[in-house]
Amino acid sequence: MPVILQASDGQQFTISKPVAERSMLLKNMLDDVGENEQAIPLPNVSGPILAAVIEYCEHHKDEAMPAADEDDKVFEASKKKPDDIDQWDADFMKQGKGNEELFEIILAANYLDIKPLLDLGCKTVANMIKGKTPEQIREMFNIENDFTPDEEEQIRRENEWAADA
Amino acid sequence: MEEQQHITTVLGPIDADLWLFTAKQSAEALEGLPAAEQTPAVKKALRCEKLLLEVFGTHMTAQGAGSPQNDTPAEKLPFPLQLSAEILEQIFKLTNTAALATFALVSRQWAEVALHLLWGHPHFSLPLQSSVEKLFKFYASADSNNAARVRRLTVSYGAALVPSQLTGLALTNSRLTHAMLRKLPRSLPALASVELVSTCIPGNMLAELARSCPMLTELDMHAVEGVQPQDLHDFCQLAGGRLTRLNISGPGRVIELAVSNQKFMSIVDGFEACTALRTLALPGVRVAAHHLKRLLAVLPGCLEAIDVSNTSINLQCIETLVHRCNGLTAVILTHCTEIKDDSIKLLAAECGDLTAIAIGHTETSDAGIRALAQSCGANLRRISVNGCTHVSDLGLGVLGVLCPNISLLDVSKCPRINVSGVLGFLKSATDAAARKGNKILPLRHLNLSVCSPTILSTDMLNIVHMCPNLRTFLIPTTRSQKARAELGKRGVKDPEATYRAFFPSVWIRPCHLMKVGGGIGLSAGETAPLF
Repeated sequence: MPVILQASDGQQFTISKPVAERSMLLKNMLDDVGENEQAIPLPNVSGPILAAVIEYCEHHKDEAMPAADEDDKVFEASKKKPDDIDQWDADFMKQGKGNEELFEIILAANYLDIKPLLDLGCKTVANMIKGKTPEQIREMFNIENDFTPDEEEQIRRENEWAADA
Repeated sequence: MEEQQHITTVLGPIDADLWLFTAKQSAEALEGLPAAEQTPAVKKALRCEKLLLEVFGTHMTAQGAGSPQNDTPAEKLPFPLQLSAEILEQIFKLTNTAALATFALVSRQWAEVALHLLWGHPHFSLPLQSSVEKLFKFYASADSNNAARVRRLTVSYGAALVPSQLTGLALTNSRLTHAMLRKLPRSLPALASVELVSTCIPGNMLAELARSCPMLTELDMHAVEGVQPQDLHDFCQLAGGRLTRLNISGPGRVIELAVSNQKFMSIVDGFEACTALRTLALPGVRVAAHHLKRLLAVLPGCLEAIDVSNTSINLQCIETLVHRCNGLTAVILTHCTEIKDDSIKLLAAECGDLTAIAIGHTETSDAGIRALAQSCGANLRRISVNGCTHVSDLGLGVLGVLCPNISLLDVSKCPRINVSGVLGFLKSATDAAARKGNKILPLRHLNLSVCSPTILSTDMLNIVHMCPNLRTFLIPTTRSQKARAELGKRGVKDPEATYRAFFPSVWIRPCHLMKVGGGIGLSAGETAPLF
């Protein structure tokens, strides 16, 4: 039974159930409502981003789902090394994706509850901002500097001890 | 041209013309490029231009002239997108201390998250001179608002007077460091968790912690010198009502000292005051069984996890323990040579909620395992029987049938466990899990190192096929190649990297004491991540 998803711009995607179930949000939804031919509206995800998310889920559909038991909190930390990214995943994140799409994919992964994709997005951003100056980071992600000069100076002073750690 | 007029009214004539003109020009130029030059970068630039045209176009026609620009429909919001504090925290945890100091300067939102992490858990490792200097700097700034952010503190190889056999280094500024440590609790009133490792602390520091830090609920002391029985007693009396975790391990010897100085009752009194304790770790405490029994006899009923590995604990002690605490979920008895089937049967009978048990290198046999499996059933998630010479394929088979939720199994160094036993366990566990509606066997961590020499590399591969969730797999390297290749296909690059999952003491360790990623730490020679 295929699943139909409708992005915020009205674009529809028909995908298989195993692909949809990479998303915990969709999985729970499908478990609750059962088989249904109506499209599931996803007002927080745009068409192009949904297409990318589906591409990711297609590629990973045969992998074991990460278990959600308590073990993970304790033992999963090894996955948290930012340079530990699968080659396909790395290419997936690079391919024609600007910083804006990257943020949108992270937000979509968070909304759809696809933990491995959220982790991948976070690792990618972590790698991008490592070793950059605050100015470079602001420019990279179009973040406004909302500090007063005094505030900025105070934070700089109080955290100097950590800057050369 | 109507659209252009709308835009003109909103943005002013020059701006709007420029926007549309440049966007259209660029889009046309990019589209006109030969196919060979349609690189991802070109396509991206083209999408940007089209987005611009689209955003301005639809916005103008939908809203009409004069609407403020921020009325754009939500899905069309231009950059920047806001990542939530939760996501930022997840990203920041992948970086290091120095990076956090930089992130704090990006914006208010970033500062809030970065400073929370940066100050939340300072980690001092002192033998390095530069770390001592950092501690000073930290001190100099700790009287600001940031002191209230410090919830957890780790001091390892901390103060001077550390016996030279521990560090091989003698620090000269001993008095200074001790004075600083004594001052520490008062400077950091929000501390909730303190970990001291291989450190010599001033005697009254514990009582000062209890007095000055009303939110303190966790104390870990590993190989800590300088604590007198009276100090521990005072600490427990002051903080006992809220203390949820107490760990006294390594050669700190405060409890042993109490026994030899006839001050044992002060320790017992102290423990009795700990009415909220949920986790107690006393691994390797070298006192006689009857002393241990007196300590266990005053533990609160709410205790959930206990580590008394490598002690003289015996059947009488277990009797006392299960009488006091029948809600135990994790029990660690590794290397307790007095532990036999009778103790395990009693434990199983009284504590059916057990989710984790470590009985490696005890005298437990198949009968004990069967009692555990029957009593705990699907509750049981982690079991370590490494080095149990009396546990055989039979016991393992019973576990497979009755405990389908096991996610960690350590049967290393078990001479009576063979490949047929392991495969049998996996088969029964898979069937049992299926009966419960779980399609996939939950087993994630399996230790078969130093196992029966009859296990072949094809057996290893079969095991991997039967365990779709396998992450940690310890097996003899000579027979691991096929299994590793198969795990590699699933994205598990190094099935041995997470070997510490098989250290039972880790099971009852709070997550924040695990080094995550690069570690939110200060020490220059940052230790490798724990997992």
